[in-house]
Amino acid sequence: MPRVPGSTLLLTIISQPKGLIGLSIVVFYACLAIFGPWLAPHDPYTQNFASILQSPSTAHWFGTDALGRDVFSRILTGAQTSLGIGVGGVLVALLIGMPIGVLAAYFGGRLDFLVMRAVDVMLSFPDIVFALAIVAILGASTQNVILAVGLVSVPVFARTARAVTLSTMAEPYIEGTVSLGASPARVVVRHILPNIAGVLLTLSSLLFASTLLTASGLGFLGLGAQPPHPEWGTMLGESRSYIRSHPYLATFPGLFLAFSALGFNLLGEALRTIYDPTSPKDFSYRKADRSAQGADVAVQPAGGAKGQHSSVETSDVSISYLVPTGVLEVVRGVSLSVEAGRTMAVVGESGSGKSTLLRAIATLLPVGRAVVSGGSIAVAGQRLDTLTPDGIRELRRRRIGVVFQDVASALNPVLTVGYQLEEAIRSGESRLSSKDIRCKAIALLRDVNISDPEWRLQMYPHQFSGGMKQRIVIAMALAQNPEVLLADEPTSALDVTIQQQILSLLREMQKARGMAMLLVTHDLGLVARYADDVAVMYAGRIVEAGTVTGVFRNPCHPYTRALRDSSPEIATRAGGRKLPAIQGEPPNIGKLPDGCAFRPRCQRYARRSICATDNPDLRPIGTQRAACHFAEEALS
Amino acid sequence: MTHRDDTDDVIVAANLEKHFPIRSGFLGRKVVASVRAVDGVSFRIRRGSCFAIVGESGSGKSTLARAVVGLIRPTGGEVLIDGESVSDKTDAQLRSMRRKVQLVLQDPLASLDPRMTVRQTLREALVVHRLRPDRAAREARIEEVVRQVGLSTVHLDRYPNALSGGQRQRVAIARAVVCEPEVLVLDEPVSALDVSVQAQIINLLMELQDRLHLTYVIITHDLSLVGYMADDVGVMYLGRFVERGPAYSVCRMPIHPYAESLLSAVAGVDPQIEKSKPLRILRGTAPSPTALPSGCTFHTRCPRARAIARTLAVDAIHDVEGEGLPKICVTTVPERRRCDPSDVEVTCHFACGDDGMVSVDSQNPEIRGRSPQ
Amino acid sequence: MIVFNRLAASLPTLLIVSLLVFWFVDFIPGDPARILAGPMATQEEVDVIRDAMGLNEPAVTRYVRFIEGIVNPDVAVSLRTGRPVATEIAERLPNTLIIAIGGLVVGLLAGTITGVICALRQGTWIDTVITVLTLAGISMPIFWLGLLCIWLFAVYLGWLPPAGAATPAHFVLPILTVASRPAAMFSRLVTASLLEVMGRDYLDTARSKGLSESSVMVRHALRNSLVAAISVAGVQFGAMLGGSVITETVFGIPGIGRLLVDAVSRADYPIIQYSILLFSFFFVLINLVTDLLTLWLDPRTRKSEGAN
Repeated sequence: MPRVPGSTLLLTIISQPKGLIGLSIVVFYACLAIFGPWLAPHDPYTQNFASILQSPSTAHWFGTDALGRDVFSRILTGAQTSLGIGVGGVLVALLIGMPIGVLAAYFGGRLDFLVMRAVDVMLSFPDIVFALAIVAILGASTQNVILAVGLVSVPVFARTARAVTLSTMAEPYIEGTVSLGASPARVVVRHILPNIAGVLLTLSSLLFASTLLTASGLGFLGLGAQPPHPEWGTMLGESRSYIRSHPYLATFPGLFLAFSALGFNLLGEALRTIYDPTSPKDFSYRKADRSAQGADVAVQPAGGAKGQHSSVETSDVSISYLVPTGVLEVVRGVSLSVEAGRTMAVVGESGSGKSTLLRAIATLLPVGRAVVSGGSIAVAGQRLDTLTPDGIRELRRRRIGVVFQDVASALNPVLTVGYQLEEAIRSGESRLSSKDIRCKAIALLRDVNISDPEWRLQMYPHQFSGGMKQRIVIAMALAQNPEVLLADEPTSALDVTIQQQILSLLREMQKARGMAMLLVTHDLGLVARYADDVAVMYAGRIVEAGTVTGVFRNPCHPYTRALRDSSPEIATRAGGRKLPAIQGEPPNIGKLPDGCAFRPRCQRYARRSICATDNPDLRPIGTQRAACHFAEEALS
Repeated sequence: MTHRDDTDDVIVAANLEKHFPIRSGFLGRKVVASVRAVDGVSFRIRRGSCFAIVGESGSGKSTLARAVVGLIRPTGGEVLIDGESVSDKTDAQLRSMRRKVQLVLQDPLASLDPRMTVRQTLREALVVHRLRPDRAAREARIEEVVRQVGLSTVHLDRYPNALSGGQRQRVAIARAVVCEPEVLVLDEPVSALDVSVQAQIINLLMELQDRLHLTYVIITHDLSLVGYMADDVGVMYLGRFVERGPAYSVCRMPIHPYAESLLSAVAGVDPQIEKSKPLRILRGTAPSPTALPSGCTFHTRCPRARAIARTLAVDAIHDVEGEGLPKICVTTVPERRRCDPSDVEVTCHFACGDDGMVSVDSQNPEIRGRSPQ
Repeated sequence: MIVFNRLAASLPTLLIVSLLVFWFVDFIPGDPARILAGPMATQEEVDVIRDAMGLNEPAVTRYVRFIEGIVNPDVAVSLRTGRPVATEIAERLPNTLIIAIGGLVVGLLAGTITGVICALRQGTWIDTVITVLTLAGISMPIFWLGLLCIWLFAVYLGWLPPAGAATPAHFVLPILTVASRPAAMFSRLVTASLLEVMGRDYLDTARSKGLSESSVMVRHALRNSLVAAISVAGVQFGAMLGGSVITETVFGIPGIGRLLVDAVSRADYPIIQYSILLFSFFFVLINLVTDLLTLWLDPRTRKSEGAN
């Protein structure tokens, strides 16, 4: 949804090349429409039979037409009519379509049904034919063309206004305002209209371009502005007979027409990137790609790989996102190892870098947007940075299984579950017959406790509940007998009772198959229940790591300790007692404080200078590792 | 403001029902089925107390909360706020009544209008209810409330996207309390926040409740939050309360098997306790509220019913997987009942100790590990 | 069943459309009887013709006759040529359809290919070139593009005939011209929906299976993005049919569009009515087909058959 306060809108538009060019063209045309008649060197109506159909010259920049009139002057004068029809048409469409759409969405029910039906009917006429019919009824004139092209666009406006109103009304802040006691009129005027204005502005700009083209099309057919009045479409229509001998007659009005449509299209595009969250924001990636090359240089060969291989081993790994302003380091030197047969939990809040770390280990960092900018990652003894693309594919095929957080988008919606599962099996074992593949798919679904697997294989993902989908994703991750199972918040989108089902299942599979599992989560309770080892991340670094028992019983880092203590324990109605809360909020990546990143929120800090100057290293403290200058204070 | 004593009931819901019709046919005139989002729920909330509605998605807890606030009109039963029935009111009367009952939503970024500064958001609440018409008094009130929720006046002229998650939730709370309500309905008030920020917001809510003598209705799926904040709790499953009573007893010793499994899903932070604690994992997922199961709606997932059918001599019916269930669970809707000596009302045929529940639980093989699907 | 339902749902639309088309003729200035009788006729002669045409009968009777005219060519006759409307339309329909279908095929092919290239090569020079071309494509007035093509290919280079519909070569320029807009639209749409799909986890799921990047794109990404493109293809096909009123004028092709434009300027109202009705019929048909295609390609739009 749009979140652009008005004053910065102009800046946001002209910061994009599209917006800058588009806006310049639009401003140019606006000036043309206003001042055009005064700038015209000749009278646009004066016929001069002595000089008909002359080629462009210094006297007549764009030549003269069949009646000897100066084409340049006619184009300048015609700007008012051509653009005026566009403006008028869009206004008609906006003023009729927007209220209809907003009211239909707001009141719903019968009104909505009737409006939508009417829109359906209107959309069953091709728009230029519809406009033609209206002109046929009313007669050809400039006003009637405005009305015609405006009415033609009413359904588009009504439909868009209805759709954005509906989606705005679904936003919780509308419910919040209603629950505040605000009247419907206030809700519509103060909250809905301002928030749909951006989308309608975008639509107006894009529609202006198409209205202009439709209107000039009518003019071209001789049904628009009537001679001798100059209008670009009409002028093109007149030029048709002379295209063989005098092509310049068609060139200049067409050029002006095409450029004005281009300008409004560009402006509309620029507005859309601001107001429509689904539009690709390509203008930011381009810069990102350039900085990507710079970042690649910074990759250093990491320290030598160790002889023994843990299932996952990262040493001093840094990962950076490439953003328009440069490089944002979200993981800052993380070393951890996960052994076969154990579950390691990575715990952290938003922005701690835990999911990015998991994606890097899964070899799934978004290409061109994030890079491993330091250190090395090894999975099943193979260093990722030394692998060829084929090697990486081989690794994904046989060693790594991944379970994602967003259950809804982890399965391809247009393919059956069976196809997707069998694809995974076939990719891992290409020599199996299709019958064996099917048997294996059925067995896998049984393993993840899905009943009637034969029947379920033919179903599509949307026919399953969230919990069932996650079971299918797990089955796909297990299909290739991986050594390493990577699970990124596998249950945070699921209901609590389903969470326990899924985590028990994952844990059981991990133990039964002797896999190493890396579980990323923010929930300490789940870690305590389902993991063997834990690494606590804060602002891109591990601040404490060790066995779950060790770390949770005796946290050495103040962040770990505070996190543990601030979870409300069951059945302790407070009675005035406060929860021991951590003050402040997780830091903004990119604006980290000097020294220890946790310092501004730390209760142990006590203004000691080393905390403000030196970033503490992760070092052994008792049986675990912690990154705090004063970790020993926890032991005393 | 109010002359009543502090122990009276501020909200009374009697047999509340909200069914959403599913329409079809031309112009949607034919009602083919209905979603029983809330299906006969009764409770009272004492002034100054905190009532929690617990359930998972699809349980109807959000619909119930919105019916209590008067955002949707119930299709049956009644809600009284301060003794006045919500259903008799016109839309305009309902709007002015909403001053007393305010809603705080889960996602603070989505629940604040992105085009309004904090000051405009708070001012709107006062303007809507024509409170403090004097401009200076209004600004003074806004500043007072902003300080109450732990923000400072520098935040007043910021837009929501310039605030952090915790700050936004503070603004949402400020908007709710600025027009001096009596009841706050909190819809998952902390679950969208970072773990380290949740405790701050919980503390703030507790502090405001004391200071402003507010009544809270909390909607959540998290029993640990309930145990910490609530006085009373109703556990919802498919539109009905399956267990309702004082929070200390429901959260410590739940009686209904669904409440038991919700409690068992709450994991503490002590690994040794957590790894040895028995888990009660439910089979399957909740059925669709358009097609409620017969008898006790929980029977399709109930581990206790299956355990009882295995171990006790009861008249049994077999489910699709061939497991036995006591016939009564499949055929008869359980009555609300109270198990002495506690104050807890529970809707289960095998709830109180007299029918051998305790002995069955100890032999229940599903308690640890996974549920067979 | 679903097919039947969708079919049934489009019937009321067709009914309302036919009523509107029938009704709207009453607003056209000029008396059809006077037009038929010619400028020299007396008032009595006009009245006789009025009566013979049934213009004095009640609206219901006239509407029934209008509908009858769809199946019975003898009922509806052009006011100008005196030939049955059905004959006039049948002679010209093939030309219109050849251009529209040809334009759609060329547009889809060009649009899909350039769209995929754009999505895969974000930020490179080829992306920029295609983006500029597609912007030009949606901003270019079709009739101007047509005139430029005639000048370049027919007049200047002399490769193709400038106007008419006599040989297959005559259709090359019109098809290329009308294809420009759908190609541009389609290219942008395919790019946008591919970019959106590429952010989805299921592509990472597919990658983590070890599939090659090309099979990830073809099997998982492209199919999903085509779902979104189908409805646009339908709208574009409809727009091209409508656009025939302009293209056929530019290229001097005898087709439905040209027929309609001429009929409007001559107030030949039976021709106007039936050709607009035909356009609407095609539109409803196209909507139906895109609906069914979407149903077939995207299982989510089918009614779920009770899982779990």
